[in-house]
Amino acid sequence: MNCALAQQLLSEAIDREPIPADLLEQARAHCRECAECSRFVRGLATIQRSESPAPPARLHDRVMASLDAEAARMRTGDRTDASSAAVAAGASPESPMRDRPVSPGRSVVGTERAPAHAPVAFIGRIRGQWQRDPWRMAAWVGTAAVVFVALGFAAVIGIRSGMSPSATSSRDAATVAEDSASDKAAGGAPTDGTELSSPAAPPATSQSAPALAPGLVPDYITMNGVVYRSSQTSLAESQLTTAGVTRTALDSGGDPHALTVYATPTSGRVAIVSDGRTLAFDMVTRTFDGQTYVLTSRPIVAFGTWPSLPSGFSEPATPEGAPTFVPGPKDDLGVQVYTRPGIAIDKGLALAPKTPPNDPAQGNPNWTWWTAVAK
Amino acid sequence: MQATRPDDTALVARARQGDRDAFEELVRIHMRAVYGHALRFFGSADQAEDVVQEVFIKVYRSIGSFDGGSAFSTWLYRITRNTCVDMLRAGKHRPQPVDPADVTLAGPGDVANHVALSVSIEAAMGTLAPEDRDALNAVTLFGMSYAEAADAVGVPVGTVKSRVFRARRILLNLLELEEGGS
Repeated sequence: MNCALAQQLLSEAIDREPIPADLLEQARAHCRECAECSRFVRGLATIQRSESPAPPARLHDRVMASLDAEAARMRTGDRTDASSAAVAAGASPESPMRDRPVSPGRSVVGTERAPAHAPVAFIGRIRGQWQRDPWRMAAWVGTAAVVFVALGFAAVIGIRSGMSPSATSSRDAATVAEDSASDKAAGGAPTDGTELSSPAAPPATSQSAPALAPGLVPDYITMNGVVYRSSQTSLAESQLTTAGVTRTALDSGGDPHALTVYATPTSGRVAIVSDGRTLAFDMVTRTFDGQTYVLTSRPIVAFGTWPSLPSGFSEPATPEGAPTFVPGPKDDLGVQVYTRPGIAIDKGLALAPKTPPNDPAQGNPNWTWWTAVAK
Repeated sequence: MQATRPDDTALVARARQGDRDAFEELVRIHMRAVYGHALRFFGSADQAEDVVQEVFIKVYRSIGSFDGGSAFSTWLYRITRNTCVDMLRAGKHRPQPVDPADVTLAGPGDVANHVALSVSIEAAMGTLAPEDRDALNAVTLFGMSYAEAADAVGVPVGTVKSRVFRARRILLNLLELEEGGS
């Protein structure tokens, strides 16, 4: 038994190849005596324990959406390529910023329950991919000077600090900070009212949100207790400034990690950078009697999580909100809002679960708290 | 890193009958292997995602003709490998070359850092010869036996053994795990 043979046999053994027991024992005995082979075995075990990269969770939805499209075409007898069909459907070309739009929700089931906006994102991505080579490089050259220094370095630092064990304390600090900020944003104890001083006015967007298919959850993040929902709109990277930190696993299914949040100074839109992608998010807002309210929540650490009442609020025990809330008037969308007993509505308002799908809360199954934005 | 071969027989049978849930479960089970192979082939997550989509579309189109003569994962491996090559030939994607000098070495402290180690290993994968990497992927990602891998690739079993062993030797040398391993 020599080193080469021993190592070869042990390499085959971990692949569960049939090896005569006595031969395998000879190989193991050799490795116990030979320092080099012993190191080889240890190295082999280390590689064996390593996991191959996991695909992003959204890839499953993308694949199933493409298969549904393929199934539909096969039923109609259209034999053209699925991707070509998507392009022919009128997918618009995408800028580099929209090259990888954030999925606004998760496709859970078949075509009859596919989200209304996911095919648009999917079509846009397919179109972008077909056109990537000719124009993407030119677009990246044009934006690289601005984007790379401002975002790439910070993204590397942010992602590494999130992935490194040595960043545990910073992650914990981010969590504690976000929890505290969430409390502050929500107004602290239920008996206090605190207006949220937003660093930027929310974008002047329609209150109505695109209706979601049942079962879908938009992609949310939180920063300082304020909820942001994924946006299909691109951002002008040159105007982005550091706004804070969020802690999220995005759609990876893994552990949450800290990511720097960037914002434009003139809108309520923010962005985070992950895996080379810039993901844009908008504040979730609603108005009542001329006052703008932003959705707040306890920290959301992964996509697929609905916002919920910030810590400090006890969960209502009745459908009418008691004892935490009392019914108030209806807001500008005709939705019943609730207030805290004895607290003026201009401090904040609550919504009951199951708002209409086109409400800014988009059918959230939880009670939600909306804090007034300083005028 | 060693894939456990799932029992796809029942799922495949249902998928062939048009059961969408069964097909979705096959996607869920095997996506990681397909993605891993494509990622190691092209070195790009974007390109790997394109490959994954293309592979499962092809699987969907042709699962009716899958006769069960080989394991589903073996059939899937062939489609994945061929799709990567087809996309390369069509000029749709280009593998991103990896210079061994650029591979971050996993030192003793990194051995316990599974994330850093995984990143290092995946980076080192890019330095392997394609045939060695394909053999290693067949066995470790798709859970194939050496015989199945040999049949899928069209080489003798001994060649698969040599390629897998050589790939591991190169990875260990590159990552210097032999020097600093615990």
